[in-house]
Amino acid sequence: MSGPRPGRPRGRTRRRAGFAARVMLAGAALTLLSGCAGWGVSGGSSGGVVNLTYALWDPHEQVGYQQSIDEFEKLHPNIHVTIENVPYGNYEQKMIAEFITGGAPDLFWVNTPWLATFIKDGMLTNLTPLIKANHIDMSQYYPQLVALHSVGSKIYGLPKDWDTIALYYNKAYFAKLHLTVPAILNWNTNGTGSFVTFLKAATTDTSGHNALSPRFNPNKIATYAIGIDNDPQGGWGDYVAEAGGKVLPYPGAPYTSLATPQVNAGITFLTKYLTGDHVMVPGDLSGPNANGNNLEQMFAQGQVAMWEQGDWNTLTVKTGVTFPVGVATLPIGPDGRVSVFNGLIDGLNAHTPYPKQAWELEQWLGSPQSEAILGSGGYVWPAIKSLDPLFLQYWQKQGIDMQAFLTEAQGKVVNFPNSPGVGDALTDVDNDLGPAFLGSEPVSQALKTAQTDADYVLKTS
Amino acid sequence: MSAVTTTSAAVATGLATEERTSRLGKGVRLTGFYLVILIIALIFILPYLMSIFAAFKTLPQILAQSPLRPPTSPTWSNFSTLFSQYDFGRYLANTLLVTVILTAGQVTFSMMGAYAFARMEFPGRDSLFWLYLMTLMVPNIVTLVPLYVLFAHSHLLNTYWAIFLPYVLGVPYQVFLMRQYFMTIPKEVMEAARLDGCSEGRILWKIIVPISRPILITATLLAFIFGWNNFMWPLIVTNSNSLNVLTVGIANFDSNFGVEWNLVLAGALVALIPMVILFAIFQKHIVNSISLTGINR
Repeated sequence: MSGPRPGRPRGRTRRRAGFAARVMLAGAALTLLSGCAGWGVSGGSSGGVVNLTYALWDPHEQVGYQQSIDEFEKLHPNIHVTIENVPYGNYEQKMIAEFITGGAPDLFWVNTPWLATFIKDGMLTNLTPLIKANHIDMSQYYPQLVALHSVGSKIYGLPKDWDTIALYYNKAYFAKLHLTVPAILNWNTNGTGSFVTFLKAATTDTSGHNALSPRFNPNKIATYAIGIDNDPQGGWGDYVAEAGGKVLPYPGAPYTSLATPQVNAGITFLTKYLTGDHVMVPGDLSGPNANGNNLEQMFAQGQVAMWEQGDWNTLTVKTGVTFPVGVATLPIGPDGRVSVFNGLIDGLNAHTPYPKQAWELEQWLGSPQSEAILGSGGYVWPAIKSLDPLFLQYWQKQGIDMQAFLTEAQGKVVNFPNSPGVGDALTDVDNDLGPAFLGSEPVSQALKTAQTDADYVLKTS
Repeated sequence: MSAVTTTSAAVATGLATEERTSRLGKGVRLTGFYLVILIIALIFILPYLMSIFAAFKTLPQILAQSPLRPPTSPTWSNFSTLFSQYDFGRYLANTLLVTVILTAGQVTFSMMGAYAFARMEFPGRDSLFWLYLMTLMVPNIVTLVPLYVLFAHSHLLNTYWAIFLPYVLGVPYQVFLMRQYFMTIPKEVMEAARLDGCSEGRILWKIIVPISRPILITATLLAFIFGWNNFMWPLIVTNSNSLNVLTVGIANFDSNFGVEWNLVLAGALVALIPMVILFAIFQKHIVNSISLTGINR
């Protein structure tokens, strides 16, 4: 029945040839694509040029770092650097995963909450021998930054920037109230002081009465004087330090010192006095668990006059609001004016196949030349003290006087807590302090819970 | 007589009143029904609307205005920044490239597998099929780490291959979908072709494919939408920004130094537009896919 039909084999051959041609074409296309970047295995070295990868998490600063790296490549024609921008929310986990599988970047930003854990896990190179061999002058940097990134005599990164906490304020609002933000304001642990009086004068209800007036209606507040996060750096951490308290008794400690009268006094000042006086944005309006997520928007909308934050928010403030912005220093507490101090380093991958070249890049990024590029572009405060005016001048030209941040850096500061596991421990602390900010739990109880939870994390990290 | 007339009139009046009440009740019920539908529709539409509005606003406008307020002077600057400063053109091209490869491979290989499971006779066919189908029950997140390790050992991390290879050789869902459809094609059609000397390959390409267009289009759309929206896997397996797909490119704006929402939402709109166009063109098939599968992935 089904004998071969005339012409059939020929037709089949033609069709097969057509199919084969299509397969070959597809193969050729794939081969061509394989030659393109992204299809082959990346990294390594080719033609005597070493390809380094440099990981960071901020798309804005990436622009500044690319400018710096362009200069580096001119000076080192045998080193090519590719910047990898990784979303901050996934950064820590991605770095760890890449170390486990052997594909980690040669140099990468390290934030302080992860620093001690990365050191403990052997991810970072001890730079002390290299610093000594290359006669790098460590006194050019802020000494607190060097201490922050050291364990004993081992230094794990050349400081390249710093940050402090201050008060961004709405100049137009204060001008309307005929109020000047004083350079010096004080607070006491019993809820008194010029700072509290000033905040009362700066808080207004919908009828225009301020919180000093007997006609002030706390149920109809139009503008709160200040917004402060439930946060160990930009929020309560500064008041705890100003009350003489410490989150960790010493750097690297495997336990916290949260349940102390000093820490209690710093947090109580915010949760009992400023919140009770209706001058600070209450926890439930500030954001989930009083984390301050809503404060940026409230500041932009004129619902809060002063926003306490770190200098890394300056670009957001500049581009996000329509009114002129000033910056005031933190108030002075019982233990003085104390800002939490922090900064980033570039961690040098302890397992990089190109330690020499990665060290060259580390040196460059910590050098006056590179820090001048980043500082004069307004990206970060340079960690080299003498270069600070560059950053200041950039923002002065943009209409924002950043002197308050510098004043604090040059004054009394407390380093961001540093110990293995401290990032996770502080997350627990914030979660446990939330009820105190929301007014549903006494500060002493919240601190006890926070200490128990954080200590467990630190001991098991 | 008059008593009868009066009674009839009363009954008629009663009926008319009842009808009016019934009409009124129906009207109230319908109004209530449409009101509920409208509220549900608004819940679904509003987030998209707010994102679209925000994509054409500056950051101060986003922060200071109600998200429901349309932009008074729409700006294109967010889009120009995305494409000039952040290489979104490349992210778009990368997304298109990997999605097209993923879709073509997934549909082709799933179809071949489905044909084998539906219409080819071999020992253990059904057991193998159900075993394969069982993997559908395993959440993707479970296989994420082993897959990552596999790609790391194959030195394929940070390549285009890594983005699409796990999905390109077919997925259980697609195989199941097509197998069920192929089962509805009468066996006699294939038997006749075999009697005519057709190979299994030719039966698949020359007979099954033309009569299975609806399910193939559905499968193509599902694969394309999955590939386009895939985020977690490309985020994990790529490091270089030159290999970023749109979803990862948008996530890169996540910084602890402040988020530029105007760029995030403009980027989201860039990612959304091709999907909306696809939906507009193939909406009949997408709706069909829901009725065919009972699932909207």
